[in-house]
Amino acid sequence: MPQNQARWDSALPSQKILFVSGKGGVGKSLIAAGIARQQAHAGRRVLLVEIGDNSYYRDFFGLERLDYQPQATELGFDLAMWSGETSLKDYVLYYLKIERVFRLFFENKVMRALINVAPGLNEISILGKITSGVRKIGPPLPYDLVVVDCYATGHALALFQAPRGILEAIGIGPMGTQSREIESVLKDPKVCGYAVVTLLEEMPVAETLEFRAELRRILGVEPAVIANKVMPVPVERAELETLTAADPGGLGEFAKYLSAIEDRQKQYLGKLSREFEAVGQVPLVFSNDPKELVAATGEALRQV
Amino acid sequence: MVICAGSGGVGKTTIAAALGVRAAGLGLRTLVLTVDPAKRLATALGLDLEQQQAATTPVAVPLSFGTLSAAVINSRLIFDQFIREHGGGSEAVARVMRNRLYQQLSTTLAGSQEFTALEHLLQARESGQYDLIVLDTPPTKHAVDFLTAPQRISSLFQDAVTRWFMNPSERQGGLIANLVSRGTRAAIKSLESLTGAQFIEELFDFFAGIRSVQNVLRSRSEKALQLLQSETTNFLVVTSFDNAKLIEAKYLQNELRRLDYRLRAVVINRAFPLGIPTGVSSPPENVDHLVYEKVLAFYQKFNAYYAYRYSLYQEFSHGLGKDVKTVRIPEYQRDIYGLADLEALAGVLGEGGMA
Repeated sequence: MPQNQARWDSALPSQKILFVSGKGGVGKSLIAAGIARQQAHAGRRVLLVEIGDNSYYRDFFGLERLDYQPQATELGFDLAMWSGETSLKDYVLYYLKIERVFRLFFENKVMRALINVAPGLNEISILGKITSGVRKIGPPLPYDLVVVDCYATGHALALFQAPRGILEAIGIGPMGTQSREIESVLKDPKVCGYAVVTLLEEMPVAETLEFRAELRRILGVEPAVIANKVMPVPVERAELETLTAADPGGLGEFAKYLSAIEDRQKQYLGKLSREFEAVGQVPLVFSNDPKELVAATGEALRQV
Repeated sequence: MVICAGSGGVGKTTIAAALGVRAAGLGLRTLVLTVDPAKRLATALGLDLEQQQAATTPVAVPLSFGTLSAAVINSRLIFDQFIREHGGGSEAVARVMRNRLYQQLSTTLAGSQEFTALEHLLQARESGQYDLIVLDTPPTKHAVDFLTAPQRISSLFQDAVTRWFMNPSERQGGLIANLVSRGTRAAIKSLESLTGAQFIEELFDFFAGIRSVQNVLRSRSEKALQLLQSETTNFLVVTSFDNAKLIEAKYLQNELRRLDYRLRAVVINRAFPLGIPTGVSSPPENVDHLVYEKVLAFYQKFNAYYAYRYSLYQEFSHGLGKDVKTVRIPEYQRDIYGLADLEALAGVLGEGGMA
């Protein structure tokens, strides 16, 4: 595989927030965890956050529970799950201060329905929470880096668009102020990074390029790209071909399979290299053990 | 009816299209309703994505055999159309359409995509033109989101919420004083202090408009729920091969049972690679020994990995019970998008006993 001079993560050491997205099924949660692991290894205090109402990491790591409060993992980073509702609660509690008023707010049935249906409130609450450390608002967030295992590309774009959407609907008032602040944090490449995970295949690569175009349009930012599950072919191409010819029907078949995979990978890696300054690469890890997977992914990310 | 559920990126749309091809091949007049198909798949099905309005109307798919139609579900178009149709052209409807929150964010409105998918399904079903409708579901982070959409929609527009917004002129004093409890009043005040008066204003306006279609919205949601629960509706879960995803699929099965839906099959997409030799003999004499050993070691690691995954699959499949079929789709070395590809995939589904 050709190696580019630049690294996909050259801006990461100074950034405070990293959003990891990609087409569904490309393994972005694993990559996000790998990045968290690698950054923790480098000595940063890292929080890995998944957003939304249902957890992937809970099943992945086999945890009993995973909620709003960060919990330590054996991999050196902390882990939490933030939903729109818990983020809003956190924010409201911080502002209303008084627990009684707060309860009034969230234990009210009508209010809950309203919060659920109010367009954009969920998105802005989640983004508000993610950016709260940088904006020095709300409860302190004692981390150097927050890695966000974000939604898949389509939903991620809707999330990033929410502050603008709200601003255009309601420019004034606290909601407008918050949205403006959040948007300016999202747009600041010194603070926020974006990584898009892909496979070296037609559809994920096409979606990666579309995602980048939309991200440029919405926030004016450049995402880094990471190719996941790259087949780690153990020998040179000429050797594969010799083996294919020498042992047809046996190991030569497998060599042929590897050559075909390598061709495809080369094609899409070439396409990405023409579009991005650097392409991060993570090999396919032959393990089903979550900790082993994350550690190997983190190690691969350190090297590329 | 077949509903293809599953989280995003697992190949639901492709599987739905292939099922459509399969059913059409068996002589059923079939409609495939897709959500956000990839460009090439859409082209294969004869859908013109540039012409959004046109793509929502079913078009005939040029199959070599059978009658298949396809359409794209466009959430925004259907929701707008729904509001227009059922609002009776009233001022309230105009107000919803004008409402800035609605304009900005109607597609992210909780459950609106799911609602429109179901609405599209209902309309297709009521047309009576099809023997079978295959519905591809919107990309949710979690497959269960789609299943509870009818209930969520109903509860969002329950009377308790929309009652507040009955008469906008009473907004300042009357309604809050009369219709909501003191607790709610205090809560609204808090929300207002957090979000600002203009946000609350827009929200009130939005609900006031929505109120005019509330009853239709609810009755359609209830109808959709009945349809989902009917004997002739079968659910199929599409999932990728990953331990966490299999746990999710298992969870989904329980949810389906709880909701009184019928899960018929689980399709595991990209479960194993194609073109791998099943075994190797001793090395031929004329190969470099070192190269052979390296590739052999890699081959063994590769096989052990997939063998372990196969055991996970068997365990999973066994746990599903007898009345749920499981099919593993191999990982093809290129993307599936042409009609010929779909026909081939339809064959795999057929062999797996999917039709």
